[in-house]
Amino acid sequence: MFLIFSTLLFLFKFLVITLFLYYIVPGKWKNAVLFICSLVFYSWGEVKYFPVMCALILINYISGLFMEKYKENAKIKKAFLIFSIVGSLGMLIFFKYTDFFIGNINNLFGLSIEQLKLVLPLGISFYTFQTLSYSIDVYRGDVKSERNIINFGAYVVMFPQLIAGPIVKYSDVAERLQITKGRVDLKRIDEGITLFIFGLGKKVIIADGISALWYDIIGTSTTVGVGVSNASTPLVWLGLLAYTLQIYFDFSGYSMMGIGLGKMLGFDFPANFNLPYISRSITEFWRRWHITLSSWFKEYVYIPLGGNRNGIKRQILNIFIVWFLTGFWHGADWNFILWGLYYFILLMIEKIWLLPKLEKGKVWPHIYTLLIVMVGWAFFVGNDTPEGLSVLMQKLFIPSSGVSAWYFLKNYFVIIVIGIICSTPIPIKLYDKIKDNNMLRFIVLSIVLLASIAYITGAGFSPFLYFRF
Amino acid sequence: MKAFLKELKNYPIIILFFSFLVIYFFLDLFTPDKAFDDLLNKPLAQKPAFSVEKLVSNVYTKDYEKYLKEQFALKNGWVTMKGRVESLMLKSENNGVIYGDDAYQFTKLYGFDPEQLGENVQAIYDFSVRHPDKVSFMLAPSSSLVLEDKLPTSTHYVDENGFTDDILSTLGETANIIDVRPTLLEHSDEYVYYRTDHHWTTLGAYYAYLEFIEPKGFTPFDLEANNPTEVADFYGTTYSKSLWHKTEPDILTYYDIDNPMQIFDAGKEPVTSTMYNKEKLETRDKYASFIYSNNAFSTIEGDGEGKILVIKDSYGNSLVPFLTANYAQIDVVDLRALKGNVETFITENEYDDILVLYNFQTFITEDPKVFYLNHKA
Repeated sequence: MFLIFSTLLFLFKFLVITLFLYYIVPGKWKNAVLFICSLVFYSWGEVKYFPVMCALILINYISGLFMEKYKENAKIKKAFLIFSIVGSLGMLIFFKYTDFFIGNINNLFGLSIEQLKLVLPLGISFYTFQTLSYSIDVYRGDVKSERNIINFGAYVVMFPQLIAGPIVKYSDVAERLQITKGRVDLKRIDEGITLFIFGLGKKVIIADGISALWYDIIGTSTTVGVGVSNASTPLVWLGLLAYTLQIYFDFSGYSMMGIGLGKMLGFDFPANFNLPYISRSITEFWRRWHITLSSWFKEYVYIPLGGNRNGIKRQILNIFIVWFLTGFWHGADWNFILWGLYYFILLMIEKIWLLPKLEKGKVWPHIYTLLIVMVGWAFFVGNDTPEGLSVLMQKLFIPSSGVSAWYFLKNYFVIIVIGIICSTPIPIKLYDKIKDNNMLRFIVLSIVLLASIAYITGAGFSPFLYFRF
Repeated sequence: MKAFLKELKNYPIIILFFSFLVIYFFLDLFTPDKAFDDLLNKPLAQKPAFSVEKLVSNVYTKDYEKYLKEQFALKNGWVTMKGRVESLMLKSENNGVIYGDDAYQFTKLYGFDPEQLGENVQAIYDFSVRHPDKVSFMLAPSSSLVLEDKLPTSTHYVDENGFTDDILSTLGETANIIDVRPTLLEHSDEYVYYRTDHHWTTLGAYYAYLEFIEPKGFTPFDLEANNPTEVADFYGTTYSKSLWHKTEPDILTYYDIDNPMQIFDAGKEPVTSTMYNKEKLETRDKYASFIYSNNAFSTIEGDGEGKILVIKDSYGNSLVPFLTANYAQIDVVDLRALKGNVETFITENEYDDILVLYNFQTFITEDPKVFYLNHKA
């Protein structure tokens, strides 16, 4: 298993030792400590991938140096850009997509080429995007290359954002990586701990708690569920609602923990989620969901392709490419591509016609957005069900009887309501009222922390959703 | 330093978080490791020995994480706390255990692998074809089937009744079928299942035993004529999973029949004793006292006539003692421990009856290893 934040091993061993070392060493050694600890973190689940990470760091480090050294020589500069892109992207494609391509070639030509069946290196989709952004930025001259390989290595493999983002650009942390005096301060640590504890609660109490309903239906690796085909249509919708809440709290919980850990180490990572489920259009949803990924695609794919500068036809093609890639980035399977294209179509509809109407509406735009997003998650998760995507869709849209939703609704009602409330700005407003009262904050955070540890210790099954990322 | 400490006072959250982590770091480090968790009734993972080979193959890191989790200081307190939080959220279940009326705890079961069940049924079918007119098959129902009215309203369960009907009708073609559901349902207001354990009680086992013995015209073991011994504070396997804070312990009853039993287990010297492991009655795992739990092969001297072979899972353990009233020799086999077929026993002993007894929830899985019945060796 990977070393993930919501484990006893991470909290009571890794974090204690890492922070102790990081705080105690003099400023100029901090990056070395961060680098080494992050390598341990990265290698924990799959020791063999240690050299893979080293190679990636070296390729991008060298490319950065040479692109800057030969900034007057366009040819050499470009050669090193290509070298680094091939390095990062090649690694991503090899590990993540080879089996998908082999599978499709086998299907298409009736062959039986053996698949590699490799375990995906932890966070490969995130850190390869980070190295890509670094090399492209250096090539463009937007950032200075990093001279110190330890600093650079610490940036690439930095453990807080390794699992599930946010995708941190080199320019986001470059300045703070150079600080050797006063990089960490109590105020930042305090903020970081607060974010980390709330993120942990989001993941282990809300996401794992609600996900139990979804796994009651589809089963897990060790239990058999009710089965999508046995469930009644209301139960399948209830399950999909549970998944909708699960993926948000899981993903944003991890991001929040990552940002919090970053702050404890003295870094300020960009925000990754901004209450996506209160959106009033799909356009708005994608400005609030996984923000660092959307802006990465905008900056490194959409704009380089020409963005909106070459006429509407070209623009639509560019948007199409971005959403195809966004879907494909989430997993090497057709349903993820379908999921991306689903959003492409919806965004086009909104852009051309629907958006002004949505902006005038009050309640219905919320309902519209949530329904679209939920159906989107059905595309996203359909292949995780034993019966597959098409049965799930049939169950959702052709009313049918089966196992009643009643018991599940009763059992999960409270946690679902908590999940829904926490998807709105209400908790943030409440927290803003108490945040100057240290005593109240202390009580709230203690409760969340203790309950989270109880959930971690008592968990029968705590899913890790990002093994495909 | 002084200034730093003074400033730190303004950040109680930092003090809370770091002192919690550090205190627990040392607490966990210096809490002695336990070999066995009495509450969970299972051996605990031990600190793995380090080797480069194990590190490279990811075995070391995996074992280490398991070790840390199982030996976590005050673990069961945390698990109970999780159960309490879940109860606060009005959940009527935790860790696969459903809370029913009268403090009954049921094992959640939504589905299973039908192919595995098919294989198991086929194995018994083939076995009984080889031994015509000998084999009786009994399928002990889950407590959730017998005590359905104690389940929370509209709880979904796999259709155990339907599947049991199918299993019994298929095996009815070649074996003698003993359907114990009617008698258990009839007595469902009595104490026929444990509240905290998945097994039937001694009384439940007795009613099932009657269904087997009475049609043969035998005189059954007389409950009235024998003095029961009651053992209080039995916390069973279902409780081990839920650690429910509203748990009410069970009472385990046994009849101290002093017939001798010989136990044969692979790689061990045969042991002679009575049918009850009294030491186990002092521990948490009290049900394991019946016929010394699941051994490969045991033979019991009975007070009746003829010979019987019982092939069973743990549900058989509390039923077997009653058979001493009716047979002269009772041989008991657990295929999980025997890991081989029983043909030599059958040839040598020429049994009058063969009783195959499984619980529904075990029988639908691979666990009972019934395929061994048709193994070549």
